[in-house]
Amino acid sequence: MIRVLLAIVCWFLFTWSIIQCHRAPSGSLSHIAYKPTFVAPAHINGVPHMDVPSDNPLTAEGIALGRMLFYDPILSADSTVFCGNCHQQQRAFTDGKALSTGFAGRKGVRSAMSLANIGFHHQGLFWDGRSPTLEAQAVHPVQDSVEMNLNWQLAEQRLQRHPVYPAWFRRAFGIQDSKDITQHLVVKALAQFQRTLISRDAKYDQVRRGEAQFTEAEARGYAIFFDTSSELPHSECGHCHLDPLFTTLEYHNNGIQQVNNLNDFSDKGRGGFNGNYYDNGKFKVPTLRNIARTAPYMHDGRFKTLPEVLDHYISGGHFADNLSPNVRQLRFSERDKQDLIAFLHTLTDSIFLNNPAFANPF
Amino acid sequence: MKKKLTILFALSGLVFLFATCNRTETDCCTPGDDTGTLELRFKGVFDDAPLMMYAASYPYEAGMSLRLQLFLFYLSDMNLVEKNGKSIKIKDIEVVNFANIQSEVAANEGVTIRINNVPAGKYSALKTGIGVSSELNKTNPGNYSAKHPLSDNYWSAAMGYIFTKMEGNADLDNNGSFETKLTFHIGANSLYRSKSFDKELVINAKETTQLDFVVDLRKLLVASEGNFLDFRKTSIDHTTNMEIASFIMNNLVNAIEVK
Repeated sequence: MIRVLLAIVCWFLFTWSIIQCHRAPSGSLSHIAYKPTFVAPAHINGVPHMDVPSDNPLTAEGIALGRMLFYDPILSADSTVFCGNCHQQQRAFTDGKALSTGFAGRKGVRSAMSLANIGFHHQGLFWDGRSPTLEAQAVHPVQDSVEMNLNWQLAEQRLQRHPVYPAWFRRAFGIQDSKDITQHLVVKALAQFQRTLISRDAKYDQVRRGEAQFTEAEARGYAIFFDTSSELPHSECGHCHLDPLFTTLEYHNNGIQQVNNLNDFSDKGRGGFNGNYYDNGKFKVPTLRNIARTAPYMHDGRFKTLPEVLDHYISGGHFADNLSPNVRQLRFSERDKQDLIAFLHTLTDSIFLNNPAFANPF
Repeated sequence: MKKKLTILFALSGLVFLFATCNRTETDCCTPGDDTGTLELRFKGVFDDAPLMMYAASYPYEAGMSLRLQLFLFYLSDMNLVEKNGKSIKIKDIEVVNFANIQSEVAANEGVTIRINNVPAGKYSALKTGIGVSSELNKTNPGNYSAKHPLSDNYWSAAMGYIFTKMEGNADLDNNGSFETKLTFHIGANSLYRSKSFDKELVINAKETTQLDFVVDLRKLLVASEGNFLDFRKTSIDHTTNMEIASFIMNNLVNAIEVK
């Protein structure tokens, strides 16, 4: 009986090894161990749980690979542009430009958005919300002729032939062969890295945790920002820039452009994506975390400084049928403005801006 | 050897039988077999006109007109009441949000809330809290997934949820210019209300039953003739003026009616 069993096992192993030999091409990676280390998504008090797709759980290996890809120009046509060009850590993953510059110096049509806490953005990505997930979002910049201008097929081939990446993809996703590197896995890795970009250590957070105290000006600015004092003017900021993310993730017309009707917006924003007339001129509410580092402001970078932004909101904005009712004329003294800006500076998170785990690994 | 193998097979058979028996028992008793689905459909109106965000303007009191951009409210602790008075809780919390009702077609469809696993039976009323119950109002969006009704509409500075939001614009002089912005965000434990909607209702197992409601926004703003929210005096409130906040919440109770 035992002999028969042994014979069956031997026959099975022999046949299996022959099948594997025939299946394994030259780029076989099965000799590299695949032991992913799962990582729990971060949590920020007061923020709904991060929505991580079940087919792309965070792993240390996937995050490390995503970080490499984020900073590697291999994903651009002429190998000069990488994600980190427009999303620079020191600028809270923006680029300091009104309109971003991409492949061959081509100018984009909108400003680069901050990636701080981007993993929590569950109501669409980009200024117009056209991508539902980070995975879907990452497809666009690579193939966009203004950004990285690289055909995805070519991107895949480059990574498949690369001396290092196949092993990294193996460790992150357990692929058997370098030919298994696909766009699908590239965007998954990029999404994993971006889900780790957590900003929750600004002075504001420390105050909320009882680890620090606002100065008098900052406390006054906080009260103005969140309309908490009957003695101070209300700014209505908190309606759209709700803490702790300092964005509700919604889309609004904040009155920066004068139009006669909603079809006249030069950039229709959300409406340009979903075709809804009433969404024309609406853009995603950006986070105010690290706002002092993300100038210029608005989707087209029209305001260079925070005082310019405040002056816009104090004016009440340009009227349109879909102007947010929460953008209304304000009566601010010079001190009110200064204190509000002092509060906004408490949203600068130097731990986030200098976290070596987010830095360029090359 | 043969004996041992026979015993082994027999034991395996028994284990299999037990496993199968257990599974069958579990299947028969999982929620769903003796439960049905209840759909609550809320149609918004302003007087007799269908309620639409952006797409319509409505004549209002004292020669004013009104346009809406947002209207939502929470329902908490929803219970079906049996004829003998016994209550069965069917849902902790839901939000009725008219933000995407922007056309007549959408207005006719209304906002539907689907509640699964409702025990089959005959009921005489739906009893619900209007607003966020004090128990749930202790929580914050950090306690929930992004798709949960309580993942949004939280006012952190007040450490509580906004029970109802109404945003829009008013034309104060009836000159076609809707430049007065309206924002009413109401919520506080003391403003929590409840209402029992009397209606004979049968929930059949594995079937969907629909219960229709009408929500008249005019009734939210106008309590009785001459007693209305005057936008010439107030165009914004964050539950800072409790008189206004109570006025709106009391009116909201009357604005929701079962058909």
